[in-house]
Amino acid sequence: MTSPITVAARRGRRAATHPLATAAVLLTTAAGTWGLWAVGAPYAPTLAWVVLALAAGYAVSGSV
Amino acid sequence: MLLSSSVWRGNARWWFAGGELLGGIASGLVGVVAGSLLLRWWLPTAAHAWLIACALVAVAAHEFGIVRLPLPQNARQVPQWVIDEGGRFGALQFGFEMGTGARTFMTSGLPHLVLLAVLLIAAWPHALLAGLAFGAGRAWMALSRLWSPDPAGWDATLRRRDAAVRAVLVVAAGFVALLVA
Repeated sequence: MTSPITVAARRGRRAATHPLATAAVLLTTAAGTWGLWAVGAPYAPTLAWVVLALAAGYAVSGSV
Repeated sequence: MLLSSSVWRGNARWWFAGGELLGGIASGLVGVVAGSLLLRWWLPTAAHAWLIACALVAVAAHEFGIVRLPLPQNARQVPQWVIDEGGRFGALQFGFEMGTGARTFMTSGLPHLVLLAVLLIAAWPHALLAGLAFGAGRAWMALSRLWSPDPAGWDATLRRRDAAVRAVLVVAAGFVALLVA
């Protein structure tokens, strides 16, 4: 019989690797980048480049 | 689907991911050099942001299925012989060619948006970082499928949720593209 810990770990991995979860994390990070920019964080533009390119790379990889 | 090809055996996946990062960096470098030599010196600065905003609208319309844009792309897959070379270097080369984004089918317009931004406005460090992140994004999808407890189920989920994933990604990219521009 599968232990509850194994089942929980399996569910956790499934959730963490779900494509929609990844996209949601990127969306949240993008919104956070706006917040950082609004408060004048100097690294906000750098983070914006990273999020933009990550989203592009992830979006196009469904065709791999 | 090459996500299930032999390139994933053993630790070849890490060589593949490394190749994706290197390919992305190469594209970032080429983009910033080409943009500096061919575009930036004659295009008015004010036009840069407008071009990126227009591209964002066009790409969003494409991703939401409102229009169907003929995306510029090298519409062919990495040749089988690259994969057949096997081992680390086959995986590395496969990853590099995927990471450049220049030798595959492009099902999304977001890479074109990033390329345009790199061509027009990216500073050197940002261009390199954008290339690295593009490769990381590509590698992440392949690796997350492998790490999934049920890769076949993961494929089915992606097919089922493709439209939603695209929509969320284009909104995220739109947010930050406006900051970049």
